[in-house]
Amino acid sequence: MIHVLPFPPLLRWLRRSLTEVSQPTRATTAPPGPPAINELYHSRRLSLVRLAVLMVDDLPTAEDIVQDVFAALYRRHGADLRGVTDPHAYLVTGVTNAARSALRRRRTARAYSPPPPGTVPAAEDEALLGMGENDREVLLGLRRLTDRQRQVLVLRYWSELSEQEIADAMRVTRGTVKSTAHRALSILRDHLGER
Amino acid sequence: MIDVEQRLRSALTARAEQITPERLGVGVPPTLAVPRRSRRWWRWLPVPAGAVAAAVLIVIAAGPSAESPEPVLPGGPPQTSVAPSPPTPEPTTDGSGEPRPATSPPMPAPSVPGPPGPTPSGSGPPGPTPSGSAPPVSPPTVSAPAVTVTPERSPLAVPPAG
Repeated sequence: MIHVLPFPPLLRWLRRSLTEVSQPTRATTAPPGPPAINELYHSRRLSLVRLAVLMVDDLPTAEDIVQDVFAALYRRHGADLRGVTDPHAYLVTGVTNAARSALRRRRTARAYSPPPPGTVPAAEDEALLGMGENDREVLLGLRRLTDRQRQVLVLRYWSELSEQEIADAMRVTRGTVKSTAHRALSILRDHLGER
Repeated sequence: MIDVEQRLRSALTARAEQITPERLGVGVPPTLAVPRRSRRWWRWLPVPAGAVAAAVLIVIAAGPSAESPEPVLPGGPPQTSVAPSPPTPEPTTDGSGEPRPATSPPMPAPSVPGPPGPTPSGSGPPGPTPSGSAPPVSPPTVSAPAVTVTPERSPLAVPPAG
């Protein structure tokens, strides 16, 4: 009749108490050193920022995304990441979702206040200046895709994830990943003028 | 299609390699960037305590109304509505201690002289009337207390003519 357990602090306290009772020697036998999340942060930050840059195009936004994902992971699972079965998959999923949210916010903001034409190039346009002609064409073609199509291609051809891993990260079915990738490659091929 | 995939891989790699560790800002580990959670879980304790107290009060308040009505026996007498009986005036007493009807007006005695009967309600043999008509029927309200008020009614009766 009365739901007392869903209160998060009580639930967390109960879970911690039960864990300490069942594993009383864990805290004393843990090796001293930096917390697990800090090690993960230093080892994975660069690759995650690159992944986010490929999704949102500009570096400051990508850094914010990665920092927010690590903060959320620490806030939810603590410094020792107890209860997280695969932190890497968790981070990729978090970056993917946060990148989609950032793109949505950017699109909304630019719809209400579009930048004046002919002024300073946007951060994502500036990134294309130092690239070769061939790669620039491909990256411009990526911008023609939807957010989901672009993310599927990045996860598949840069992160080298399998279709099932992409489906888990994006929370869609494997068939959706397959059809989305096929459709995105067709659009990209049309943009590049290949047959 | 394969050429597109190769070009895509090449472009993505080139774009990713533009991001070097030197270009990244200073990374603050999450244990330093995120403020530590407060452990004051006991601040939530009054909430479930209040909920429990409210539930107990509700249960106590709803207790008596939850009693089931008594079952009706199958073989028992059917419950029928009893018609109210006509109001019977209660006898009152005056100063002499004699009982009197409380509300009923004094009934006129039969106009025909006769022996002062003890009961005007017709319990005794009615006397003959001058017109020869049927004897008057007394109202039913007088019939019930008639037994007790008979001694008091004879002086109020209409004196016999002549």
